[in-house]
Formats: sequence, C-alpha cells, structure tokens
Amino acid sequence: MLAGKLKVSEDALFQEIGGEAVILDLASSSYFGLNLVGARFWQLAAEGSDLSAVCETLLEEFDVEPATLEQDLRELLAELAEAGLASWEVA
Amino acid sequence: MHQALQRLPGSAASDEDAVLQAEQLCLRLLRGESSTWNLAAVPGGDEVATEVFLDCLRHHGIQALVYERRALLQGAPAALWHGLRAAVMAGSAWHLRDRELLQELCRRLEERGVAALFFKGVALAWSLYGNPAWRSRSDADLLVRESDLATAEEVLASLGYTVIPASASVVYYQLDYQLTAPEGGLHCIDLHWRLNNAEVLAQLFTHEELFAASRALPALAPSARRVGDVHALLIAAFHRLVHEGQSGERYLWLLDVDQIARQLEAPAWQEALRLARERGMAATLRAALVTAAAMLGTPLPDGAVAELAAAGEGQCDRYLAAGGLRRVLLEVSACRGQAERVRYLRRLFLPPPDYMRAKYADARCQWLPWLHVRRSVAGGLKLAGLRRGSA
Repeated sequence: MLAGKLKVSEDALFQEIGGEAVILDLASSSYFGLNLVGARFWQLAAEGSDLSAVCETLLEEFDVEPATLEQDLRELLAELAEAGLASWEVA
Repeated sequence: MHQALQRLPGSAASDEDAVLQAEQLCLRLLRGESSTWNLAAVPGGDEVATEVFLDCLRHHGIQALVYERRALLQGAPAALWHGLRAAVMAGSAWHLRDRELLQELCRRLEERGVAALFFKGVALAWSLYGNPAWRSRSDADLLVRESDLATAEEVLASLGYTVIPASASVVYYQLDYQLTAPEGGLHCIDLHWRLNNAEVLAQLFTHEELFAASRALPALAPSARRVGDVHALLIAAFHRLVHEGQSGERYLWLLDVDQIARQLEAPAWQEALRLARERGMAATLRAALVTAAAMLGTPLPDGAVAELAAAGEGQCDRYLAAGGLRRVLLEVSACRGQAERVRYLRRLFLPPPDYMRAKYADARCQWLPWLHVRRSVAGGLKLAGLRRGSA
C-alpha cells in the first residue's frame, strides 16, 4: 500500500468542478484535468493526510480493487511529478 | 419510402422548436429537477440536438452549473458531456488564473490606498455561488471613486493591463482593460467610476451609500470588497433589462437575482423594497422577482410583489422600458445641471476622434467629418426605430 505524503507545488492551483478538477500550473502556464478519483485523491492528499489513509478513504468511496487503485495512484503520482505539480515524499 | 420527406436541420421551425426544448430543459436542471433528455426528436437527431443544447448553455452562461447537475439529466448523448466537460474545464482554468490576477490587483490597489468595490458577476461568483467557477463571466466590474481613477489606472497599467478603446457606447463612465495570460486566456477589468454608463442608472446610488453598505469578499482576496446584498439585488434587477434587447432573458442574470433573493433576510428585503420605490425602480425589481419566481422558483416574501406593484413606475423603470429617442430624452433630463447636459449631448453627437476611428476602422474614407455624417445618419435611423444596431 502507498505511504508517505503528497507535497503540492506552490505554483499548482486547484479548482474542483463537478466532482472533477482542473489544476493550473502558474510556472508553466499549463492546465491539467483530473477525473473523479484523481480530483478526490488530490483533495485528500493536499490536506496533508498520509497516502495510506487517502487510499483507505478512496476504497470506501469508489468501487475499485485495492491493487487497481494503488497502480492507478502510482501512475498518477508519477505524472504529477513529471508535470511539476506535486512530489511524493515517502516517510 | 421510409422518411421520404424530412425537415432539414437549420430550417427556422426546427431550430425554434429545438431551442425552446433546450431552454425548457435548462430551466428544469437549474431548478434542480430530474429530467430526461428529450431533444432526440429534433430534426437532425442527437448530433444537432447536442449542438443546440450546448449553444443554449453557452448563450445563457450556465455550462458549469449544468455540468455540476449532470446527474439530474438521464439519457443525454455522450458527445454532450464530452463537449460540455471540455468547455467547463477550460472555463475553470480561466477562473484559476483570474483569481490570481484579481488577488494581485486587490493587493496593489490597497497599497495605493484606492477603495474599490466589485459588483455584478465577480462579486456574486465569490460570495453567493457555492463554487466561483459555476458563475461564468468574461470580465470583472470594479467601481472606484472618480478621485481614485487615475491611481487605479496606474495600478492596472503596472500589472500589464491595456485599455480597450471605447467601442460600445458614446457616453462612458468606465474604462475597459484587458490582459492576456501566458496560457492565452483574456482577462478583462471594467473600471467604473459610476455604476452604469446610462445617466439614469449611473445616479441610482451614490458612492457613499454603496461603500457604506459594502461587504468584505475574503474568498477572493483579504482586501477585496463587494457591493452589499441589497444593492446587488437592485443592480441585478436592472442589469437583465439593460441587455435584454441584445440577448433576451439570459438565465445566468436571472439566476443572480434568484441567488441574491434566496439569502436576503427580512430587514434586507424591507430595505430593498424601500430603495426600489425611492429610486424609481419598483417595476424593474418587481419584474425581476416575478420572472425569477416563475422560471426558477425563487421564494419571495409575502406581499413584496404587491408592494412593488403599488409603487407604480419610476424614472428608472421608464428608462429601461423605453427605446431610441425616448431613452435619450430621459438621459438628458437625468443629467444634473447644464454643464453635464452639454457634456452628454456633445459626447452623444460629437464623440471623440479615437472613438470614431475605432468604430469606423474599416471605412475607406477616414475623414473625420465624413465619419460623423455616417454616424449621424445611422443614429437618426436607429432613434427613429428604422434600424437596429449601435450608433
């Protein structure tokens, strides 16, 4: 299971809309969309919760297998890091 | 001979039917009612129906609001949600950048000691709507005292905003500024030193009473302020009529009336009714409230409509109901003093050269007297009701 915390870039602005979300990166002037699960993940993780607790909440809220969720979140974390929007800090 | 004769998309009757159905569906969703996609019978099928519905949402400025309520609509084509999602996401990104820009503007204005009030869309988006991105808008209306105008202009210029030459009207109490963000979005500030460009509406409320009743807008910025709820309601009531001739009943503006009305408490209602009577806009407020109640189910306090009806028509009501020459005459009579009247008439009949050149930028002959002749003829026809369009 994932552990650690998400460190959000100060240049990343988040706006929830219809359960999904948009992130505007002020540094690159690019914007990104997050689907329902991604938006909820960002909301929970950006509050400072440990990623293991975030995963537990997501498993309660969405109909998804733990292994699938973990794989999807690992991919999302890699994409967020590559875009410079957030980094994954393992405790 | 299956479907030997079909009504083709684009014909007047089919378009009207589809638009009517789309507007009814929009209203049901805005009222929070569960609905079933019923535009499938539109000639041209779902493809045309989807375009009609998306056009309808764009026209009424309610894309994000309907996307938020998408669970209420059953059976809509996937293409609709795909198109709407793209528009809503782009709009939300614009809002994010706009908030950054407005926060910096507020900070700089405060530093320079300029008291400023947001009103209309931006003020409502950040105070009444559950999510500011739900309330679409293309600009931010900001009111400053005339004595602060030059400083406010300096601040806007220092932030990279450029002024747009006057283009929509001949009498201005506002300057329109714009800035293009790095990602390409256009962000506009309408800098007002009176509430409206029309003399009758410009004088409805003094700066003193607007600032005295103003409220903090902390969701936008620590130093941001907006007009108070009562003034916001009255402004929303006349705003929908100012633009009615150009865009018909725009649901977003009616929704503003609805949202403000829903959170007014009894003392504020009394103040709104009193001000509407006192400032000659009882019929205007009554029309806004009655329409909002009929179309959006806005709850109104007992007796409010009757009280406004009993007040009859005032100057503001007559102005908003009038057209062409009568509006000009009401404007002239609303001018305070001979000097203001002369200034109004001079700008009406002899607008500044930069305005004339901007308006007739495509004209082959750019000789200023000739441009004035052209404008006089067009304006005369318009005032006489023979031609639509801006003079």
